[in-house]
Amino acid sequence: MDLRASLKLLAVVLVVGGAAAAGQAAAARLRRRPRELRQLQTALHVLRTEVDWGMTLLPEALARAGRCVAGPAAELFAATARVLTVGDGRGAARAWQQAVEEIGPATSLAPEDREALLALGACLGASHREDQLRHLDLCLERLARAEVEARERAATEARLYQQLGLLGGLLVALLAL
Amino acid sequence: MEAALAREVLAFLAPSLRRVLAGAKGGAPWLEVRLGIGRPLLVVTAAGDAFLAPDGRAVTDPERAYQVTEDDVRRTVELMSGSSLYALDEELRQAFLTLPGGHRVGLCGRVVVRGGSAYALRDIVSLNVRLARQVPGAADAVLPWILGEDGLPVSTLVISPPGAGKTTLLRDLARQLFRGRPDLGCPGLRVGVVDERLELGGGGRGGPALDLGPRTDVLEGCPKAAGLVLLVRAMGPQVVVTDEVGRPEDVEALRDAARMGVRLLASAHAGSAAEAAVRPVLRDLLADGCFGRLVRLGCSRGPGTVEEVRDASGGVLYRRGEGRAGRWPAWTCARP
Repeated sequence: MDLRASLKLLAVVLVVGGAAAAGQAAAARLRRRPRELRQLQTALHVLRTEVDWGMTLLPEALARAGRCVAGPAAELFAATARVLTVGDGRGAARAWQQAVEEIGPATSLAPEDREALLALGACLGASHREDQLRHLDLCLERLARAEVEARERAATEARLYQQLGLLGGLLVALLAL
Repeated sequence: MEAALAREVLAFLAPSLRRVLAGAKGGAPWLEVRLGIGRPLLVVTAAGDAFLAPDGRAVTDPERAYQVTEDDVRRTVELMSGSSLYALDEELRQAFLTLPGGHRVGLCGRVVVRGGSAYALRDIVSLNVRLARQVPGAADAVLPWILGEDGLPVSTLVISPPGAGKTTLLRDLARQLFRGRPDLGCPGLRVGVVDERLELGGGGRGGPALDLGPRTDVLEGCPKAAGLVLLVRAMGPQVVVTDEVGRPEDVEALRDAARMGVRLLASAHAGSAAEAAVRPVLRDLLADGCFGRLVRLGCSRGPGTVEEVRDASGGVLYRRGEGRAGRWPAWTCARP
C-alpha cells in the first residue's frame, strides 16, 4: 500500500472515529441526565425529611442530604452547606444559586432542571415549615416530570445519536474519497 | 458596646449593621438594639434611648441616624435563624427567638392566623434584640426577704413591667440557691429550671450558656405546664425556677408543684401588686397562696431596682426608701 492510500485510510478512520465518538458523547449525556435528576430527587427527599421531622438546621440538613448521594447533586448540597457553615453573610439563596451555577457545566442537566433548582433556592430556609415543604414538593414534582421525559428521550434518542454519529462520519469519509 | 456582648450578638447582625454598632464607643450600657425597615437604628441604654449615626456615634436627630434597610432586616433574620426559619415555627408563633447567650429577639411582621390563633409569622419588618446579662449578686437584695427559717426559699413571684430585670434576678437566684448562702442559713439546694423560651439559661445550640449553677437541671424549650411536672417527677428538685407565668394552664401546673412541696420562683408581667391581683392567672395563684412572697422590680433607680416585697397576705415587708433592700450592683459591673 502506498503512502497516499495509507493517509487516506488514516483520515477515514479519524473522521469516522471522531464522528462516532461525538455521537457516543451526545448519547451518554442523554443517558446521564435521568440519573442526575434521580440523585437530585433522592437528596431533596432527605432534605425534606430533615426539614419536616428532624427540624434540622439548614446547613446540617444540606450536608446530610449531600452525603446520601453521589455525583453533581452531592457537590451542590455540600457546597451550599459549606458556605452556610462558614456564615459569611451570603445567605442560603445566594449560596445555593452559586452552587447551581458552579456545578452546571459539569452536569447533563437541562436549563429547565436548573430553573427548578434555582426557584427552590430562592426561598430555601426562609419561611415556615409548611411553606418549605410545599416548595420542596414543587421542585421534586418538576424534577420527577423532567426525569420521566429524560428517560423517554434517552431510550429513543441515545441510539439515534450513536448511529447518526457513525453514519455521519462514514458519509463524510465517502464524500471526501 | 461591651466586648463580650459584641462577640455574641454582632455575628448575628447584617454586615452593614455590624459596622455601625462596632463603631459605637463608650456611653451607658446597652439594654436593647431595635431595627425596623426604613427606621433609624435605635439602641436603648440604661441612660435612655439613642440613635446611631452610620459611623456609630450616638445622635439625637433620627434624620442623621443610620436608616435600616429591608436587606439589613432580611439578612439579620437569616443569620439569627441559621437560614432555618422552618426550625423555629413554635418561637415565631410567639414572635420571638433566642440567640445563644440568652439574648431574646422580639419580631414583628405579618401574622398568619389559622383557627383563630397565630399560625406563622412572615414578612418580618422589625426586630428588638434584648441583651441578656448576668449580674452576679443581682439576688443579694432579695434573698434575705425570701429565705425561710428552714433555709429554703419561700415560693416567690417576681413582677415588673418589661425590661426591669425579672429574668436577670431569677437567673441569679437560681445560681445563688444552688451554691448556697451559708451566711443566710441556706445550704446548697437542688434547683431545677423550666426554661421555656431559653432566656434563663441562654441555651440553644449547645445547652445553657449562662451560669445557673454548675449542676442545676435545666429543661429547655418545654412549655411550663408540662415542664414543671416533668422536672419535679424526673429530677426531684427542692426549688423550681420558671419565667413569665401567664397562661391559664400554668396555674394548675404551679399549684400542683406547690402541693408537692417544691418551692417555686417565678416571674410575671405586672406593674404593681394591684395589677397582678386583677390579672386572672396571677389572681388565682395569689389567692391560692401558691406564693408566699411578691417581689416588685422597677426602674426607678435603673433596671433591677427592688421596689417592694410583700408577704402572702399582701403586707408590705419592704418598700424602697424604707427598708434595707435596694438596687442590685450596677449593670456595668456585669461584664468586662
